[in-house]
Amino acid sequence: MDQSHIRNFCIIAHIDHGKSTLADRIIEKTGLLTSREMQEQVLDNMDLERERGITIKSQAVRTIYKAKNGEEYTFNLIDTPGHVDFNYEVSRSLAACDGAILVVDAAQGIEAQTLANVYLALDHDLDVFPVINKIDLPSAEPDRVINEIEDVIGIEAMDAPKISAKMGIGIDDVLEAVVSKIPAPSGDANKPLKALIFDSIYDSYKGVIVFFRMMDGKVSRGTKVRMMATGATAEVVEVGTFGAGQFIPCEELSAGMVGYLTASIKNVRDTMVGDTITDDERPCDEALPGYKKVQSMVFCGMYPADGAKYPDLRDALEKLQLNDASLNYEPETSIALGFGFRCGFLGLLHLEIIQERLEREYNLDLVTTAPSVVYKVYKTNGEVIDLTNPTNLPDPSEIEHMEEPIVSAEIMVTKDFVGPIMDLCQTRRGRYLSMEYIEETRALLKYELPLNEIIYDFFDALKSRSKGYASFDYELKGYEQSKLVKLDILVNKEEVDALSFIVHADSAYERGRKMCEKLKDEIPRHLFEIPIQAAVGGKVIARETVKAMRKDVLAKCYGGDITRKKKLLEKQKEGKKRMRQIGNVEIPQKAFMSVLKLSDD
Amino acid sequence: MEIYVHIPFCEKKCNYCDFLSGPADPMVRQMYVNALCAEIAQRSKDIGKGEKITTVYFGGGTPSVLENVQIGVIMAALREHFNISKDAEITIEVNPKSARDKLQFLNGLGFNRLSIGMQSVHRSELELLGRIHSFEEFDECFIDARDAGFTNISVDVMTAIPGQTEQMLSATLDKVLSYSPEHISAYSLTIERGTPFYEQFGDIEGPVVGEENERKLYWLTVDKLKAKGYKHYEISNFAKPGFESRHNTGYWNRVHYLGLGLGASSCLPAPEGDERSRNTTSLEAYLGNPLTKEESNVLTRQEMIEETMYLGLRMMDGVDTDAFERQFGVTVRSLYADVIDDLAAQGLVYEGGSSLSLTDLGIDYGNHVFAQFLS
Repeated sequence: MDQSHIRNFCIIAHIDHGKSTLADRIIEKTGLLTSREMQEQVLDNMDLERERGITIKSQAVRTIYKAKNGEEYTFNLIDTPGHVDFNYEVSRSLAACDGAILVVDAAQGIEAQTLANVYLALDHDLDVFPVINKIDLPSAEPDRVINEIEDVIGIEAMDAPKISAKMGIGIDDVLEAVVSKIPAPSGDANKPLKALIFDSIYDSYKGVIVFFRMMDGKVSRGTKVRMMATGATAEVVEVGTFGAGQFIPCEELSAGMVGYLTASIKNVRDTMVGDTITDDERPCDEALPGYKKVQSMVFCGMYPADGAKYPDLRDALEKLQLNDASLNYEPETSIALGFGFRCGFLGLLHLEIIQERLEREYNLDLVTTAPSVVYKVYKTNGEVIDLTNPTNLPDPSEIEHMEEPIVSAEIMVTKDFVGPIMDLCQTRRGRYLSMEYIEETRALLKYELPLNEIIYDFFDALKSRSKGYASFDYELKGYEQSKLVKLDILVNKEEVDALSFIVHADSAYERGRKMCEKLKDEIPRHLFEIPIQAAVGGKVIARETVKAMRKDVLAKCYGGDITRKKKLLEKQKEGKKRMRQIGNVEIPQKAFMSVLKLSDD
Repeated sequence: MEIYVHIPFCEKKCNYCDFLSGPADPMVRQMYVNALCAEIAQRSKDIGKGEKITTVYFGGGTPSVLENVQIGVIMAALREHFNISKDAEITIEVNPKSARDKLQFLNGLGFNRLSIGMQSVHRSELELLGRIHSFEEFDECFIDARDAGFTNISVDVMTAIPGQTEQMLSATLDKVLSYSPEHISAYSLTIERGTPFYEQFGDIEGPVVGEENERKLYWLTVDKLKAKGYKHYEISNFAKPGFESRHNTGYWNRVHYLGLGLGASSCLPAPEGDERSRNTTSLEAYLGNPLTKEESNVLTRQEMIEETMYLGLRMMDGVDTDAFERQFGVTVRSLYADVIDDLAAQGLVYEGGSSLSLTDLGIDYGNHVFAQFLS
């Protein structure tokens, strides 16, 4: 295939601006599938993704487009995840492209993720052309949005296609623009093999299927490939390109193409996103830039509700990890919860997705503990610990100081809500950096925030304080020293290790109080009174009490009472919750995630 | 099958009473008796003479406010249209004040069980409750009832009356016991919406005397009556051996019953499951057409199972798990193992060889236990 007729591109957009719908239309219009075969949102083939409307894993599809000039072009549309948790994956997908379609909602205009993604694309030297979507909406203001794009991002937008992906309006213009505005790949097929991995999945028959973009050289069955970062080598069994939802084997892939290979690789950890594939016998000089080892940002404990299911949970995690190199886990034990795993995730969304998949696909009943970031503990003996489980915090006397991860955050908000959002950042220990008005009515706020202040409910708080108008993006900046303490929770005088969490000393009292209040609501009444206490270093700083269950029995229940009294009893009956026995107290499983709901409002 | 007859009249409504009842003039009472007889004639057609009636219960209100002849007419209608068993238990509720001169007549009509609403021996408590009678009148009534030939008499006592001390309740119980009634019902006062007490004590959670106090008075009653040889056979009911109320026990064992009169409830066999229904609660509607229904609901198998559990648990002998299995074709355990284990671990229920019953602690938390058997 002649490289000049290949277009490798992606679609970037803020969440809900219509990325997936446009992708569907492009696939539909290029004739790969008939309308009848089109499932809605072909690219997102995991159920979960469909429900949440977010793309979790990067995927690609190859379609054939017959342009108005009569020539046939191969389009490789590479889908990218749309959440800050998956920033690194996004950057690798972008690196596999030569250009990007920027989708902007004609009513909402530019949002924080729009900007973040555009800058990311420009960083990767992609040619970006904008598309104004949702012009069918009554509130659409395409001209305003075009001006905004030119003013704020500084890219040409005057001739941006005005489309409605949902209604199928203007799709042809988009396809022509892909041909004319996105450059053809420029690799050299005669150079040694050099290809960029942007994703990989595990298939129980074929082993790992590696998704990659050919930069230079060729690859075919029999090529002995080497992953330059992990050092893994394997002999290629099959290469091919992506249909919509299926793999189409071919003889050979060469520079500029996008495709997959299988090579009886057993573990996705050998084929990490961002790694460079080369020919083991004729390697390229140097790997492609940008490879990073995936680091878990958020950790939590996951325990089977039924202790006997521990092996099932282990098997399930093992299987999920085959497909998800960013999921980490190792066994741990909790006094309260028994045997389980400390699991590491890219972010809270990633955590929630894994949790849901474990519960749904593997039918596991889980108890999940409060998420924690990774703290650095500098001990007086010179040792430095990466603390992922609050329970493992050494005795305060052994701690020299602690550091916590800090992120740089960009928040875009309409000017009416600047005040409330600044308040929010302030209460979350944010450090104000700057504010600029990107247009008359909208401001871009820059803050540095401790990661542990934003992993819980920051996004929700942001939405509620801005009536949904704020958008948000962040990246890890580094570690900073901080005054941190471990907050312990005692239920009926017994410390529940799984409820402990690390908190800044200044907010310990406030968090402890809220935690007690929350648990008071979560824990049902027992036959006895249950004190709930929050303590720091053995000192109780807050207390609530779950009152004992009321002694109550219907004195009379005769013929005329039966129907009426049943209604009364039904009211009394609380929904049967999943409980965990701690000492002689039953704690609902969801209480272990209570710390997530300590909202400020 | 059992029959319940509702007489919605009394001389004066008591301060705690939320039953469908009230004073009415003689003409309305007569119209009611006519309507009731019409209902008896009509509804008996669905039942037929083949069905043996094991118990009849006249409740209210105060059935004894009716004239002798009116009660006689109703009784005659029942006997004409239903096959009332020779050894049927036939009960009538009476007020000590209005019953005296009717007792002989009632006994002659076939009533063989009397339920006397005494409530308390203390004038102050009777006044607070809004009762129209005195203890002296109860005394006369009880003696007259024995003289009239009643050998099965039940006395109502009320506990947890505002201001009631253990001494006061003890005095009441001692007095009642001195008459040696066959049966005693002891009810903890509950404040119901729409009663004068509700206005007075407001919408409080729990008993007026306080939760712990109410339980103390309850257990004082249980201990005292048991010590005197009464069997504690249901949460609020006590009887000398063999004198348990057959009619009421039928409710807790889910025996079918036909309710006649204003607002009376029925539980009758229907093709898919038992049907619970209630007559209209509007006196005007009832007088216009005594077949007017207010609500009716065919129970699912699940609902019948739930009722069997929470009604059965009211009895101290508990749910007969063998009978349960015979009726539903599954064991109680197969449906409720988790619930039972959980409750047993907390000491709230006791599992016998063929029964499941409340423990003493379980009685105190009865509603919580009952609720666990609802889905």
